[in-house]
Amino acid sequence: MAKFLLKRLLALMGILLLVSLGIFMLVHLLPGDPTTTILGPNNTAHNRAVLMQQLGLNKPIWSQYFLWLGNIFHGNLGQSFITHQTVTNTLANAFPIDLELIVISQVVALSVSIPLAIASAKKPNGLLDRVSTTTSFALLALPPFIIIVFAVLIFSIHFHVFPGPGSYVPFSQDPISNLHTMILPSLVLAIGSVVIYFRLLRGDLITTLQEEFIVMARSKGLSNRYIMWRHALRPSSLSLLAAAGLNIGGLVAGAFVVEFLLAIPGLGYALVNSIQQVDYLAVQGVTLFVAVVVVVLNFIIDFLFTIVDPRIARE
Amino acid sequence: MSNEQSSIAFPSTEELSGPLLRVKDLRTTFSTPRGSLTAVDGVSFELGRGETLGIVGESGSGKTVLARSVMGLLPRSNTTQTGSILFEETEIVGAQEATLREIWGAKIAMVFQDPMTSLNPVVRIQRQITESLRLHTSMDRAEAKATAISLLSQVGIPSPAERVRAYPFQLSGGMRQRVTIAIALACSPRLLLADEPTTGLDVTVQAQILDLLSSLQSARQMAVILVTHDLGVVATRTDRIAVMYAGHIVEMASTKRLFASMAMPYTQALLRSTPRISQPSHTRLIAIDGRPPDLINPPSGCAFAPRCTYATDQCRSERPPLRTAPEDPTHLFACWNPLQTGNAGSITTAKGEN
Amino acid sequence: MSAETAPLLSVKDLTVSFKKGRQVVQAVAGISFDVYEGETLGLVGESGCGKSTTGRAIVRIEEPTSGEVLVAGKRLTGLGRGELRRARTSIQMIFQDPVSSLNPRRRVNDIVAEPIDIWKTETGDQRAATVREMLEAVGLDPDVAGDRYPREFSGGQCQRISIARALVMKPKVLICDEMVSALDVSVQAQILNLVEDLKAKYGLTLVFIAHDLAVVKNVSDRVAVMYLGRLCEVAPSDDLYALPAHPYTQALLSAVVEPDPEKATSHVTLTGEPPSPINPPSGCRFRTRCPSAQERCASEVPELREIAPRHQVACHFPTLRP
Ligand SMILES: Nc1ncnc2c1ncn2[C@@H]1O[C@H](COP(=O)(O)OP(=O)(O)O)[C@@H](O)[C@H]1O
Ligand SMILES: Nc1ncnc2c1ncn2[C@@H]1O[C@H](COP(=O)(O)OP(=O)(O)O)[C@@H](O)[C@H]1O
Ligand code: SF4
Ligand code: SF4
Ligand SMILES: [Mg+2]
Ligand SMILES: [Mg+2]
Repeated sequence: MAKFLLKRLLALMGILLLVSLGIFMLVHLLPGDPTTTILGPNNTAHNRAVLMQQLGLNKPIWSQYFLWLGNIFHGNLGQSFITHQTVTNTLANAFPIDLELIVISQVVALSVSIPLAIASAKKPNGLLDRVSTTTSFALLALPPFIIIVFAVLIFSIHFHVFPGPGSYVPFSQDPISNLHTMILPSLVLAIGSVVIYFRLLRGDLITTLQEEFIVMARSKGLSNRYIMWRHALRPSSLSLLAAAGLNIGGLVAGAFVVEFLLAIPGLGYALVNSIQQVDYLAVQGVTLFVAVVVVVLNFIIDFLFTIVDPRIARE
Repeated sequence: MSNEQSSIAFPSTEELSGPLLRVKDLRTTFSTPRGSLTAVDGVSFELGRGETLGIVGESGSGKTVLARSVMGLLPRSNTTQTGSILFEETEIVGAQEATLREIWGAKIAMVFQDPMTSLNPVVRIQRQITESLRLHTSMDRAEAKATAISLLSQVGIPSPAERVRAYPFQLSGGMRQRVTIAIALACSPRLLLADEPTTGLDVTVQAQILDLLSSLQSARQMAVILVTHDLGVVATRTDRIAVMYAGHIVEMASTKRLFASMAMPYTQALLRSTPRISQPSHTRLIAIDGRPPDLINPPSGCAFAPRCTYATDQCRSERPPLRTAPEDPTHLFACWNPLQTGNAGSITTAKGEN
Repeated sequence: MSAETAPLLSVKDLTVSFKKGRQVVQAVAGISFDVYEGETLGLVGESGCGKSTTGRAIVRIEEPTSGEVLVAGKRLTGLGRGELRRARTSIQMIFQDPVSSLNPRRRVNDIVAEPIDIWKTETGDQRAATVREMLEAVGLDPDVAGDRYPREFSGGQCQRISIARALVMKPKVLICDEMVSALDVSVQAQILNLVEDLKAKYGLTLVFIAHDLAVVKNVSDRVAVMYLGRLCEVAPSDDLYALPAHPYTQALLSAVVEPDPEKATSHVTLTGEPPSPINPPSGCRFRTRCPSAQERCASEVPELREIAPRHQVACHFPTLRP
C-alpha cells in the first residue's frame, strides 16, 4: 500500500513539474509587455531596458524558468510589480475564500446526494426515485454557469434573499455575515456536484444491491440499514469518487466564475485582475498554486480509492 | 476438528423432538416481463434434526429458488409464495422481515455457490464473521473476534489469527469457501442450506469441503440441505435425496434406496448421463436429449415427457401425482410408468465391467 | 496408434513463463508428450497447474518461452506469421465458455464460415454446402439455426456451434480446453458423445483438457496428469485410473466422488493447496504435499520415465505394480 502511494506521489511530482513548465510557457506567450504596463506607454526605451534587466526578462527563457522554479522551492513566488504585494501574500488572502466555498459546497453536495441516492436505490422506479432522477436529469441539461448567473440574478439581485455582489466580509471580521454571503455561491456550486454524485451513486447502488454478497448479508439477519451503509455503500462509491476527482477542475472553475460575478476576492477574482493588468508573476503564481491544489486533491482521492477498495493497491 | 470448543452451546439432542422443518405444498412464482414463472411448484418435504437432505437436478430446475424460499430470502417485489414452511414453531411463508431476521444467521444459515461473489470484496473477513455474532449473541468485540478466529481454525484455515484480517481477494477459492462456511456456522444454526458449495472447485478441494461439512454437521447436530447438480456429491453425504425437475420434486427416497431402486426415469437418465471413473474409458454415455421445459409455459402432463424414453400418451396429458412406492412408504415418485426395481440404474452393470 | 509410428503432435520440453511485475510465473515448466494419430490425450490437474497455458502454447495463442511443438513432424514454433496462420488451420482449439467465444453480432452461418472466409478456400454454393454439412454434423438443423444469432442458443448448442467452426477447415488436431465444464450433466453427455462421433467420422486427434477426472477418463485413450507446470504421470486411461503410480494421481483419484453410495467416502490424503508457481518447491514440485516425500525429492527433480509399457511416471518412489 505504501509502495502504491509512493508510486502515485512520484508520478504526481512529475505531473507538477510538467504543469509548471506549461504554465510558465503559457504566461510568457501572453500578449502584452509587462514593461509597458509598469512604466506606462510613453516611457523611454532605455528605462524599459533597465526594467527588463531588473525583472530578469532579458535572460534566456530557460534560465528564467529555473530561476522561478528555484524561488518557488524557497517559498518565494515573486512580488507583483503592480500592487507590490508578494504573490504568496495574495494567495494567503484569497485561497481561504475558495477553500470555504468548495468545502461548503462539497459537504452540502455529499449530504444531499448520498441519502437521496440511498433512498432512491432502495426502491428503483419508486415515486422518490422517479422524481429525483427526472429532476437531476433536467439539472444536468443546464450548464453550471447558467445556473450561477440565474441564481445570482434571482436571489441576490432581484429578491435580496442573499447579499448582492461586492458585499463580501472576511470570516475573521464577521462570521455570520461571511457565511450569509457565502451560502448562495456554495449552494450554486453544489448543484452540479449533487446531480453527478446522485446519478452515479444511485446507479452503482442499484447494481450492488443485486450482488450475491448482499443476499449473503441479508441471510445473516443484518438490518437493511446496516447492509446499506456497511455492505453496499462502499463498493458502490468508486464511480462517485472518480467523478469527484474529475469534478475538482470544474469546481475550481465554477468557484472562479461565482467569485467574479459576486466580486468575492478569492483566487478567481485575483487571477482575473492579474490577467487584465498583465501582472505575469501573479498570474504564474496563482495558476501554479491552483494546479498544485488540484493535483494534491487528486492524490487524496487516489488514496481514498485504496481505502474504499483495498484491491486497488494490493493486486 | 470436532473436538474444538466453540463458545456457543449446541442444543442437546434430547430436548428436541419432531421435525425441524416442514414444507407443505410450497409454490414460488416470479412475475417476469414474459409472464409468471413458477420456479417451485407444489413442493412438500420434512427434515429431521441433524438430518441431511440432498437436492439434485439440472440447472434451472428450481433448487436455488427452493433453498431461498425455505429461508424466506427471496426479494418480495416480484415474488409470490403460497403453501407453508414451518421451521420449528415459526411459519416462514408470509412472515414479517423482522421475524425472519431473528432466524436468519442465528437458526438458519446459507452457504452460497460462488464465494467470490458471496463475500463482500471490500470488507475484511473478520467483520464478515463477527457481524452476525454481534447481532445474534451478547458477545463483545473481543469475544466475537476470538470466536471468529476459532471458527476459521475449525474450518481448516491456516494461521487464522492473521487471516482474519485479510480481504476475500487475498484468499484462494477453496479458502474463500471455507470462510463462507465459517460465517454460516458462526451462530451455530440448526439448519444449514448449502447451495452448490463445491461447484467450480477442484476435486481435491471439493472433497476437503465436503468432509469439513460432514464433520462440522455431526459435531453440531445441524441439519443440512445440500443442493447440487452432481449426483456424486450427494451419494455418500446425505441421508435422503430429493430429485427436482422443472420446479417439482419428482422423486424422494433415502439415499441407499434411491440408488438401489430408483423409480423415476428422470433420475435414471441423470445417473446414466454422468461419466464415472469406475466405468472403462470410452463408455458410451446415455445422454438426455433436449432441454428442460420453459417454466413460463410448462407442458400439461409430466414435465419430463418430451425427453423421456418411457413416455406414453397418458404422460403427455396428465400430470403424474407424487405417490409412495409399495415396498417403501418413504420412497416417493411422480411417474405413470415407474422403473421396475433392478431396471433402475446402471450401477450393477458398471460394477460388473470394472 | 502404436509407439512405432511417428506421433502426429509432438510437444518437446515446452516452457511458458509470464512476467508478473518483477516475478516470473512458470506456468508450464518443461513438459514433453506425444499424441498419435486418431488418439485422444487427456490432460488433467488442479486449476492453475498450467493445462490451458499448455493448450494455448500448442496453438500459439501464447508464445512458448522455449521448447518445440511439431505437427506431423513440422515445427510450429519458430514459424513466421503467414506460415503459422496456415499451419494453424490443421490444429484448432475449443474453449470453455461457449457463449463468449462466439461473436454475438454474427449469424451462425457466418460464424461457422469464418475460417473459410479468412482463407477464401470456398465461395458461394460450395461455402454454403460446407457450412450445412458442419452444422448437421454437430447436430444442429442448418435451416433453423443458420440464420440465427448465438444469443438465441443455449450453452450446449453454442458449444456445438464452436465445434462446427473448429472443424470447418478439416483440422487434424483439436485442442479442447474445458469444453464441457460449464455445461449441465445431461448436456455434457450429449457433447461428449458428439465429440466421440466426430472423432471417428473425421479421424481427429484430440488433446482433451479438463479438471474433471471422470470426464477425461471417458473420452481419453491416454491421460497425462499435470501438477504445477510439470507432468506427473502419463498412461493409457484404464491403466492410469486402475493403477496410478504417482502419489499425486493417487491423491486426485481418491478425492473423486462417485454417484454410488456403496463407494466408501473418500479418505483424502491431499491437504492444503498447490504452492505458487512463482516460487515452486525445489526438486519434485509435489513434495510439499506428498505423503511419500523423502530427502531425495527436495534435491533432485524426478524426470518422466517408463515404469511399464506406455506408462510413464515422474516420481522417485512410484507405486509399482504388484
Ligand atoms: N429472481 C428471479 N426472477 C425470475 N425468475 C427467476 C428468479 N430466480 C430464478 N428464476 C428462474 O427460476 C428457475 C429456477 O432457477 P434456480 O432455482 O436458480 O435453478 P437451479 O438452482 O436449480 O439451477 C429458472 O428458470 C430461473 O430463471
Ligand atoms: N496471461 C497470464 N499472465 C500471468 N499469469 C498467467 C497467465 N495465464 C496463466 N497464468 C498463470 O499460469 C498458471 C497456469 O494457468 P492455467 O494454464 O490457466 O492453468 P489451468 O488451465 O490448469 O487452470 C496459473 O498460476 C496462472 O495464474
Ligand atoms: S410420467 Fe411418463 S413421461 Fe413422466 S417420467 Fe414417467 S414415464 Fe416418463
Ligand atoms: S518424487 Fe518424492 S515428493 Fe515427488 S511425488 Fe515422488 S515421492 Fe512424492
Ligand atoms: Mg442454483
Ligand atoms: Mg484452464
